[in-house]
Amino acid sequence: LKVYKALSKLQSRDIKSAAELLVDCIATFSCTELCSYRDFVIYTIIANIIYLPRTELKEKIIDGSEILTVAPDIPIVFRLVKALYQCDYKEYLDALVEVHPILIADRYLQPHCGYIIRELYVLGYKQYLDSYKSVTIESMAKTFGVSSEYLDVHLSRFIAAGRLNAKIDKFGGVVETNRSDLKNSQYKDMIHKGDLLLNRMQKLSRALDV
Amino acid sequence: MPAGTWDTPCHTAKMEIDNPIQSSKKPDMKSSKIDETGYSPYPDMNLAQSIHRVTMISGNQPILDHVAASSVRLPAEYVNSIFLTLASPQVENPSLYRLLKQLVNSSELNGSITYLSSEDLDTMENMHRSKVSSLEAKIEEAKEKSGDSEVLDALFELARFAAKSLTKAEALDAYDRILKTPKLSSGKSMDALMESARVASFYGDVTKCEDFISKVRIVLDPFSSCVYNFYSTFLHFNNCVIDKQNCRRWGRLGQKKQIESL
Repeated sequence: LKVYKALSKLQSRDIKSAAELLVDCIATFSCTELCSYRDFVIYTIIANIIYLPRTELKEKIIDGSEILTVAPDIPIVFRLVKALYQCDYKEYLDALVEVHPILIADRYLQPHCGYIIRELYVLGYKQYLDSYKSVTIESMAKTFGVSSEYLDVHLSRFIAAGRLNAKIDKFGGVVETNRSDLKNSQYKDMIHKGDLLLNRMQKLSRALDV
Repeated sequence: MPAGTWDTPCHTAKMEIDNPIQSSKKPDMKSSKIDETGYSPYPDMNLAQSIHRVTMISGNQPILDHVAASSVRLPAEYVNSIFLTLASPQVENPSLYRLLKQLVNSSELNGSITYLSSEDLDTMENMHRSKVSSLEAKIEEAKEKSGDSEVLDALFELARFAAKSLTKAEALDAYDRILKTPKLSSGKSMDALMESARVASFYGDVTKCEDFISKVRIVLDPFSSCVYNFYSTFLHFNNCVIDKQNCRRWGRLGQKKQIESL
């Protein structure tokens, strides 16, 4: 039932819940009437690469004995996860391009192909930028094996959408990360929630006065 | 030559072997065949995957080009092979055949596919109609002459045939009939619901699929909670017995310590 639920979640793009269910079922998978074990492992890797923390990714996916047995059958997907873990970003983007047809050829993943690819790009960029306070676009482009112009366009789109906490100094050709620390974000969150609460209380008091 | 060797058997008399039971009426399990895992092989989800790939390669709006298709190890004759599979006795699904024919861009395939004619598909549908009526007759016969389990078997046979060769609506209706059967065990209703979920998933109906899975959980939950309650009661009872034995063994001191620990 877990596999049924996981695939149903995957179909409705609840990838986080699907990832948790899929990784639970690796060792006990027997739903061959639903999908092959090879396909199941692909779903598990793709779903978990987005949501699993790096340490758990190593433990459950890269070093998982069940996944290692299937790894020779899915070289591209396995290369993707390995490249991300080893911070080999050029290899990661290469694998990402090669994974695209695999996602399209699968009926469960194809409707979410754009979303998954976008998330994987964000994941790669985020992991890279986490290590720096500022980095030149040229150096970053070299690491990812793409042109500076391409990276500039790509990064600016993610920054504008609020997916990456960074800003691009176009004049200096530098990407500066502005990681908001936990205390600051909690303070902002509290003020925001407090505002909402005050508004509701005012509305309620007005209603009571009437 | 010593007696008992392969050349000269020591017993010249014929060994008595029971004749294999030759029942005059074997149950027809052709369409309700269950695979080794205990699940019905229909609908074949690999076929759904293949149909999806065909629409991606040669659909009216193809997304995968042939170079990309070869990178995911799809053979060149993939589209043709899927049409052959749909017409083969393992599937024989004329409605699905017609649907795929509409989805595939024939002009791009340059006439490399020899489709079944509409007459052939009509003949196939007529065959299915007669098969369905024979299965319905079997259900009626089971209702009159046999017990509930035979009726249920006949209903499952019809539903599995519908999942294999008929349309989505017909298949879901057939499973719905099973679910409406009185005195249906939780195991059988779970089977019917999960197979219905597969039918819905086969045709890409996500909402219905989720609906069936949530129904499975409803069926499963009272059962699992019942088992859990029984197990926990058993454990509690067992612990009490062990506690009493320990108290007797350890004497007053042990009893005191146990009370303190509690």
